[in-house]
Amino acid sequence: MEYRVVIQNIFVLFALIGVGFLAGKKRVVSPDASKDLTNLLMKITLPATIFASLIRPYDSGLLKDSVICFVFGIVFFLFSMALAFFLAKRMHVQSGKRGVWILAATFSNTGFVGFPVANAVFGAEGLFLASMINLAFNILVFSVGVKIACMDSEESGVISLKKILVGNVNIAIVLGLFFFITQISVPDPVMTLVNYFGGVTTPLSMFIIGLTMSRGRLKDLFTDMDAFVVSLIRLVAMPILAFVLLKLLPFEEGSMIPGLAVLIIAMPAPSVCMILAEQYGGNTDFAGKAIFISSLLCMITIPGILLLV
Amino acid sequence: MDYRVVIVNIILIFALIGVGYIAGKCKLFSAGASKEWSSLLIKVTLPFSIFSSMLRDFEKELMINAGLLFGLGFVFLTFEAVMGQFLAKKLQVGQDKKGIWIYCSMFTNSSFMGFPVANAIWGADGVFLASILNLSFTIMTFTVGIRLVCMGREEAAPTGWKQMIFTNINLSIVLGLLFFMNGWTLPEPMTRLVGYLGGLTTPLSMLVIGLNLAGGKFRELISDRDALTLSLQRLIVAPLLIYGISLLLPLDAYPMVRNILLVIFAMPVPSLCLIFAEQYGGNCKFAVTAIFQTTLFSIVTIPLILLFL
Repeated sequence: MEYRVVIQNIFVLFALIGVGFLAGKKRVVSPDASKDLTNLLMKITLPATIFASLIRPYDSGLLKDSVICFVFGIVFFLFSMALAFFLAKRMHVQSGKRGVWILAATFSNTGFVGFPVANAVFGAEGLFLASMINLAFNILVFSVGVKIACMDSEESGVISLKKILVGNVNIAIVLGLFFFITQISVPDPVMTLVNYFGGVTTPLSMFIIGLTMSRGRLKDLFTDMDAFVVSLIRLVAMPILAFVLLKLLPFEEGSMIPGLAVLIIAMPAPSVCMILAEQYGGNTDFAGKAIFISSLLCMITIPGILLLV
Repeated sequence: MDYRVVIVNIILIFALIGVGYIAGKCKLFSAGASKEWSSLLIKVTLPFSIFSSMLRDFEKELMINAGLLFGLGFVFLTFEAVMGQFLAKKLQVGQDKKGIWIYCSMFTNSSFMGFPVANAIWGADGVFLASILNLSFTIMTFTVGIRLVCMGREEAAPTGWKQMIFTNINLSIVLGLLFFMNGWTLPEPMTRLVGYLGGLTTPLSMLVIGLNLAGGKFRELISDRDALTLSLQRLIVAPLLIYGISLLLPLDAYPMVRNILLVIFAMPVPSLCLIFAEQYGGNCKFAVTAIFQTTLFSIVTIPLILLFL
C-alpha cells in the first residue's frame, strides 16, 4: 500500500476535524447543531455515498468479498463483546458505567469515521465493503447493544426490529445491491444528483466530529482513567487481535479485506454509544468521554495501525 | 453554449432544493437548522469554494473579465437603484415597504443561489467571476443598501460596515486573488482540504433554500401585490435590461462578462435583506415575503433567462 498517500488522506481528514473544532469554538455554528448535521449525514448523504459506491460493473468477487466482510463483522464484534465483558469484570469497572464501557470497547465507529477513511484509503470498493461490516454493526448494536446499554439502568430495553433493518443506510445498501446485481443502468442525471450528496459525506462527518469535540471543556474530559483504558483497548488491542485472527485465514494475495477489516476495527468508539446511553438511561457522561478520548487518540493510533496492515 | 447541458445542470441543483423542501416538510431537521447552516455556509464553506476557484494558473483574460465585472457591478447597481426608485413611485409601493422594495430590486442572492448556479454552468471560472461581481455588491450593500432598508424609519444609519468588509468571504477573495496573481500553489493535501470544504457549498445552500421554502405559508406569501411586482422586476425585467445594455457595450471580446451579469442579476432576493431588516428595524414581514416569492419563482425564471446565454 502506498503509505504516503494514506497518511496524506488521514491528514486531510484530521484537518477537517480541526476545522469543525474551530467552527464550534468560534461559534460559527453552535455545537448543538451537530444533531441536525448528523441527521443530514445519516439520512441523506451517507445513503447516497453507499448507493453510489455500488454503481459499478458487476464483479462476482466483490459480492463474495461483501459476504465475507459481513460475516467477519458479526463474528468479530461478538468476540470483542465477550472479551470486553471479561475485561470489565477483571478491571473492576464501576457498575454505573460498565455498560457504556463494554459498548465502547466492543464497537468501532464503522460508519461515521470508518467510511471516509475506507474511501480515502481503499476507494469506492473499500467503502462498499466497509458498509457491509457496518451492516453487521447495525444489527448487533440495535439488538445486543441495547441490552448492554441497559446494564447501567433499570430499563428493560425493548428491541426494535424496525430500527435495525429499516434505516436509510440499509435501504441504500439493498437498492445499491439491486442495481449492482441486475446491472440496470442508472440515468446520468440521477447519478449526478446522488453524487452531489455523496461527495459531502467525508468532509461533513469529519466536520461534525470536530464540532462535537468542541462542546466539552477540554480539562474535564481528560480526568477519567477508565476512558483512557477503554480507548486503548478499542484502538490498539482490538485491531491487533483482528490482525492476528485475519492472518490465520487464507486470503488471496492482494485481497483488500484483511487490511480494510483491521482498519475498520481500529476506529474510535462510535457515537451510537451516546445515543443508546441517552435512550436507555445509561451513563452519557462517560459515553461522551470515551468517544472524545478515543477520537483524539485515534489520530496517533490509526497511522500506527496502518503501518501494520 | 449548449443549452441542454446548462439546463440539465440547473435542474439538478434545483432538485437539491426539492430534497431540502421534502426534508423540511418531513421535519427531518430542527427549526434552527437552516439558520445554523446559513452561518456555516457564509463563514466556512463559501469562502473555501471561492478560494478554491482561484487556485489555478494565472490567466490574463480571466483577470480582465474580473476587472470589468467589478466595475460594471457598480454601474449596474446604480442603474438599478435609479430604476427601483422610479418604479417604486410609479407602482405606488406602500411607504413602509418602499425601502426594502428598492433594495430588493437592486441586490440579488449572488452567493447562496448565484455561486452554485455559476458553478453548475461554468465550473471554477463561474465561481471566480461571480465572486468578483459579488465584491461590488458587498460594497454597495453597506453604503447604499443599509440606508434603503432603514428608509421610512426613525433609526439612524447603522455603522456595521466593518463587519460587512471583514468577512471570511471577502478575506477569501483577497487571499485567492493573491494566490491567483502570483501563481502560488498549495501542497496537494491542502488543496484537497479546500476542495472538500468548498464542495459542501452547493448541496448545503440548496438544502437551506429548500428548507426555507418549506417553512413558508404558501398562500399568504404569494398574494402580496408589491412582492409580485418586485418579483417581476427582480427576476425578469432587471436581468434582461442589464443584459440588453451590456450587448450595446463593447464587450464582444468578453462574452463571460455578459453571461455572468445576466445570471447573477437574475437571482432572487438575498436573504441578507431579512437580516438587515431585523437588525435595523426595517419591514421584516415584507422582506420575508419578497425572499420567499422571488426564490420560488426563480426556479422557473432562471432556466428561462438562461435561454439568452
